Amino acid sequence: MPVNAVGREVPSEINGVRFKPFAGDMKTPPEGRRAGSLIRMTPRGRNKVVKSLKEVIKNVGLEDGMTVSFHHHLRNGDFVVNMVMKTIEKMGFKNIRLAPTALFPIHEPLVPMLKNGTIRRIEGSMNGPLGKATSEGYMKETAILRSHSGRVRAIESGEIHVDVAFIAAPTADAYGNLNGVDGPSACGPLAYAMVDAYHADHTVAITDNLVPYPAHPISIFQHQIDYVVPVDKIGDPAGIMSGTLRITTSPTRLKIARYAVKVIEKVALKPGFSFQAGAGGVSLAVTKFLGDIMRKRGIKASFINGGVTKYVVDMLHEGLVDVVFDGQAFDLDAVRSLKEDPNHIETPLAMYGNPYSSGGVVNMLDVGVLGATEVDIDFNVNVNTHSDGYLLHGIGGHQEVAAGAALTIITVPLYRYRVPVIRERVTTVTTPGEVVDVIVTERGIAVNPKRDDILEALKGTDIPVWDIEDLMKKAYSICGRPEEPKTTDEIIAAILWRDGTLIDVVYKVKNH
Amino acid sequence: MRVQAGTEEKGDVLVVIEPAKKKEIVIKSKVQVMYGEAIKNTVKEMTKNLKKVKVEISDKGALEWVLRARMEAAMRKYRGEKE
Repeated sequence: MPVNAVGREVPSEINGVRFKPFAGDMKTPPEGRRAGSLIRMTPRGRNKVVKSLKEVIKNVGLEDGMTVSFHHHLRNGDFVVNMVMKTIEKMGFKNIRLAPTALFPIHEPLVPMLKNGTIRRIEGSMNGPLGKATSEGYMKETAILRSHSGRVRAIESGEIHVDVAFIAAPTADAYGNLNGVDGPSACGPLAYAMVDAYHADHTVAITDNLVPYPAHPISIFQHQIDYVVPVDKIGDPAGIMSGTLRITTSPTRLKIARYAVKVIEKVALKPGFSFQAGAGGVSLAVTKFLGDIMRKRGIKASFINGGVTKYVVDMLHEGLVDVVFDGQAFDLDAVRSLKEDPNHIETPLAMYGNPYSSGGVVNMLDVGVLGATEVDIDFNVNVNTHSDGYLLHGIGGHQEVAAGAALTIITVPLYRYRVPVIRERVTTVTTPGEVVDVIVTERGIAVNPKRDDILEALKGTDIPVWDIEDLMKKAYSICGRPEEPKTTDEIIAAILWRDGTLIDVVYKVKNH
Repeated sequence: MRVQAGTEEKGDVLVVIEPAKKKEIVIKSKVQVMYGEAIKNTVKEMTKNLKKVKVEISDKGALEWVLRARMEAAMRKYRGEKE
């Protein structure tokens, strides 16, 4: 097998399709033209509302082997994937390719469908049980994981052709105008689903809040939606919204956040700067502490890209930032702000970080603060697998934020319980060291040697600066050197870089 | 007499020692793949003078020194030392 630019052996073919090895970010130029969808016609007076999922699945002409897609704005509160897939299973369809943006523990009922042949493979993020089942070898074909932007690229290029997109819609009218800011299952933006609405051959909106025409505001427009299916409930608000997210109280994590903010202050903080926010405990603390410094020093940001939470919204409404770009809302404050504030802008995922476009938001980012499951001494980052080899998480926007931002900071504890986070070699490469600049731990930071400028800017601060190998040795001295995961040589999942090249593969675990 | 030390909290380990016909060590660990062998070696080494006991380890990712402290506490209890 060829060895790629991060030193991983990768096959040249997955599921009978050729993939190039990862050659470095922006090193593999695009080819061809964007893919299209089936052209449809809708005469005046045609009723788009269909009473049942079974009927709509008949209407769109679903066949064995076809590809169906979903978005994950309803996260772990989503009912739509399960209800559609159970209907598909009951109707006897086999070998379906599932192309969701992401699946969560709530989607565990799909595990038996891997085993009984309803689903042949999943191309999308799998958080929890489906990843576990895949690691144990229950998926017939090989799973393919892409970042948010990588998925957009794949659909735009025809690498994934979606036959039917099922779009959970917190609000819809009978003619297919959709939004996510109103209704009992409000989720904020519908950004993930926009590329599906545009490129799928058939589109079905599923809603629990059918409103008089025209629904407004509009995130996805009527000319892209073929059918509207009203159901009782598309989701559970407790799983859709995270509730009031709290800043971490862990002294370790607060220390990590303070070091990260110090790095940002010394390296990148200037009027009009921009940053990527997230919803993790450390991310929230970074956002808050950064806001405190901006307020004190009278510095205003041009935009925050999110992952939007109350903390981001508060900064917008306080005037600390001009614009919030929103691809995903985590709490009701974010949903309300998106609905009411014109400076809070819903961004289609195609605008986010697709390398094969005329330029994404990530290219304008000064600072990206990201997490990791593991980091290695080459600065490679793993967010997909645990150190025991199990595939348990998706890529999210990790790759494009790391690649796009001028300063990419990874915040991690040195170890979690007994497992070292800084290691000799990551179990799986999600994001290559070439796009990672600073690793921040509670013991201090390590700076990518190619970023002398950062080391220079940090001179005179009280942050301990380590060689990354010494950080690893420190972790190993506390935890002991971890043994490598026991895997077979059977590939169960491919990890694609955002440009569609193969950055790594995941193997089936042994002795589960 | 059956004794125990530790908890099943994350980052801790529960050690249970009880009399048995022959020596037996049972290890269940959340970090089995990475540290199963290391845990077994520590337990074997610390219990080398114990015979006819069953030692049960339920580990939730405890560091080595935590494991050693819990083991020592359990062994002292087993020998009848006052808490």
